[in-house]
Amino acid sequence: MATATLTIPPNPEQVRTARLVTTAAARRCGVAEDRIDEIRLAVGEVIARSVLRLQRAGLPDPVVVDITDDDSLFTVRVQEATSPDFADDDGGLALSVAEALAFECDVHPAGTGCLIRMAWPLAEDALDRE
Amino acid sequence: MDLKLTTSRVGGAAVLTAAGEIDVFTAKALEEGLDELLDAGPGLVVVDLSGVSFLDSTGLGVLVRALKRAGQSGGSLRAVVVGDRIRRIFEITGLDAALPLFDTVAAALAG
Repeated sequence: MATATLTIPPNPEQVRTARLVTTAAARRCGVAEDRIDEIRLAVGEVIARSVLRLQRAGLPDPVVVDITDDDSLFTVRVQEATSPDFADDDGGLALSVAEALAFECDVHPAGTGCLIRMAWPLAEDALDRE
Repeated sequence: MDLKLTTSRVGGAAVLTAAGEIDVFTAKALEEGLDELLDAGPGLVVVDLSGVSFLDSTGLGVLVRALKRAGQSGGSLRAVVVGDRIRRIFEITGLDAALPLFDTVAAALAG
């Protein structure tokens, strides 16, 4: 299992960098090329959402992105310090898009904040979500 | 900035051509570009996204607000989208039902 952790300040300018790193990691882990766009968009949505939540909450804390792969899944965990009860400004659109794109997507409380976990199968034929 | 915007006029319509990535950082520039065209009065505004390699829900939010504004002033907004990568997010969110999508600027201008 390989793990990479990104710590991103709550600044919209940094979200693109996080997308680039995550998609590069997905390619290196052997995720099928046709899933890379899904990962780019889903991870971009969730990190952008976290940055906006932190800004609205007035918190200087970073967004922490953990990227892991094991035998079957490429997993991205995005954690930030705002309460899970803190409403999204966009009516939940960013999270809905991520849920539509990720093979697995779930939201967990983590300390006083929340963690969103997204995962995709590593092998093309591992799982078919259609 | 990873988004380049250019404006042109074709007949009575305005065309805003976007190239690059539209995300939480660059969406504000798109909003300002669209607002400027909508401020000029009612009419047809075509936003050409054929050179856009990434579009997220913050960008869609900008398009929804522009669509609403155009409708309120008696104008209209149409978008040019090339390729499944960008078209997919319109389909996921259902925005393709509200915002007319075209393959080329010429088709968007013709309606």
